[in-house]
Amino acid sequence: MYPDQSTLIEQADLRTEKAETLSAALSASELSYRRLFETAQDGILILDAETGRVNDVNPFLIQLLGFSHGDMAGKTVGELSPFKDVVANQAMLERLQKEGYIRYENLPLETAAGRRIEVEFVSNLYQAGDKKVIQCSIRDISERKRMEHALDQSSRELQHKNAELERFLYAASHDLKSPVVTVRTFLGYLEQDMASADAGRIAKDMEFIRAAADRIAQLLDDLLEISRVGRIVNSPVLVAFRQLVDEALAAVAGQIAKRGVTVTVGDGEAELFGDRVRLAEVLQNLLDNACKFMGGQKDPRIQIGCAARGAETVFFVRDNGMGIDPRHQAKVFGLFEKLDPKAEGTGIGLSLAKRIVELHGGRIWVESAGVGQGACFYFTVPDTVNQGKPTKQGETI
Amino acid sequence: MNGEPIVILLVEDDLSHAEIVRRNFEKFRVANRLIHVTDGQAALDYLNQRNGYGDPATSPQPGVILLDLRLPKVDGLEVLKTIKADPKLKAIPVVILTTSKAEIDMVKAYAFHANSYLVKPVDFTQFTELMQACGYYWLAWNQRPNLTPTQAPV
Repeated sequence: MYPDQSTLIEQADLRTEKAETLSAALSASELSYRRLFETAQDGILILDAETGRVNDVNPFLIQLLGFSHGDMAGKTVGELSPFKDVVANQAMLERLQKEGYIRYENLPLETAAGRRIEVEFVSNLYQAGDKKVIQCSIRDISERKRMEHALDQSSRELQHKNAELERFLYAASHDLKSPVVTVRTFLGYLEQDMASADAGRIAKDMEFIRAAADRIAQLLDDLLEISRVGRIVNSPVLVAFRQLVDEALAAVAGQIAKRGVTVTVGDGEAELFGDRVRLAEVLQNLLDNACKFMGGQKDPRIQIGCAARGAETVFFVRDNGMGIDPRHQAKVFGLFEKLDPKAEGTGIGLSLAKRIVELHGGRIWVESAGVGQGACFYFTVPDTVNQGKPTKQGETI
Repeated sequence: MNGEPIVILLVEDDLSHAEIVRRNFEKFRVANRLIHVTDGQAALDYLNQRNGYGDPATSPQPGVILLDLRLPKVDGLEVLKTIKADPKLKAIPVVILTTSKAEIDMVKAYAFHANSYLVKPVDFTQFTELMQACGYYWLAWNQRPNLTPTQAPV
């Protein structure tokens, strides 16, 4: 018995319809994958799993690397110049065959335009019909890396600041406590000495109390001053080194005259970018320090200048005073550190100078051959324009 | 009690604190001598008998050292470390006398073999009592050998 002809035709129609639906669905699916491939905001490479050669590359990667489709098609990943020396084709293929998956966290690449970027590179091996293909996703992580780096940097800066704050608190609390101990102890003595009416001792007790109270007042002033640096910031301006020198010299003119110091200013030229008032204070403190520690020098001299040292410009204040034993040079910039306990002041000048220089991103240091050899204080301010010319022909600093 | 006079080396940059120690030790002074230096470098020079401290008659080795921590030139902890690393000096008892109650200072001081750690009290009566007790302990009660470590038979 033959089946009914009309039934056969119906069945054939039904199949054709089914096939047409399937084919439509297939092309719809293909289209959507194609769109995904073409609009993806990650680079995608499709490789032949046998040879590792590029079959297809999506527009995003073309844009990212700056190479055309033609530049890349048919090449292995290792042959593509951005990946040269980074991905060895054979090694990648073997690992993919074994593990089905490779991930490079952090590949540094260079684009056609020479821009350096960092990418995350993930390869997957999978079966597509009767063939195996490799799909590589390439994500530009330069921005993330830049942020990570910035975060690292600021975390380090924060740690540094924290340590500085801790040292500051330690020094401040210890140094403030000492005169308080003095005041309270000598008040006790004063009571005893008043009871026994010992006029000589009473006068001495009062003297110790007064000196300690003065010191507390001075320490508090200095602490306030050093806390202002960095908290109250004048907007940075471009200022000539010579101008700063003139201002600083005017501020210490009294001391210079009193000590009979001959000051020479080198003819080096440079402009500094920063907080003008504070930068003048750096020089002022260095000059003040030089005047204070002239020792027995009969012909006291101070030389101020700037000069190129290597790639940077260094500013200097040199004196022919008492000098500093090399063993103690690291200590002179410490808060309330004094090499000579009998010297005037609390020992804040050089710490203040150091703080200002460091807030400008610069460095400050001292060089001295030793006691009686004079000293030279140097500092740098990174935003210095104009190379400092040597102060005099052939002079070394 | 040991009748031998003891030389005390006081390393203190604060002149008023040195005066407090001096006043408190006055009663022990009949037999003992207080020598005062104001920075860490001078302390090391004194102990090593150099730079003006060369004469053992005027700069005798101390029987006890009272050492402040925050000192000009060479820090107290550095002075302590140097003393305790020196075979000729390490047997001398070093008493830290400081305003610092900081844990890190105490840890370091004992790690460098300080023999005692005293914190200067912010109170007249307490400071006086502390100095009296310290004086009795180190100058009267504490026993010292007559021989130096290098003279002692092995």
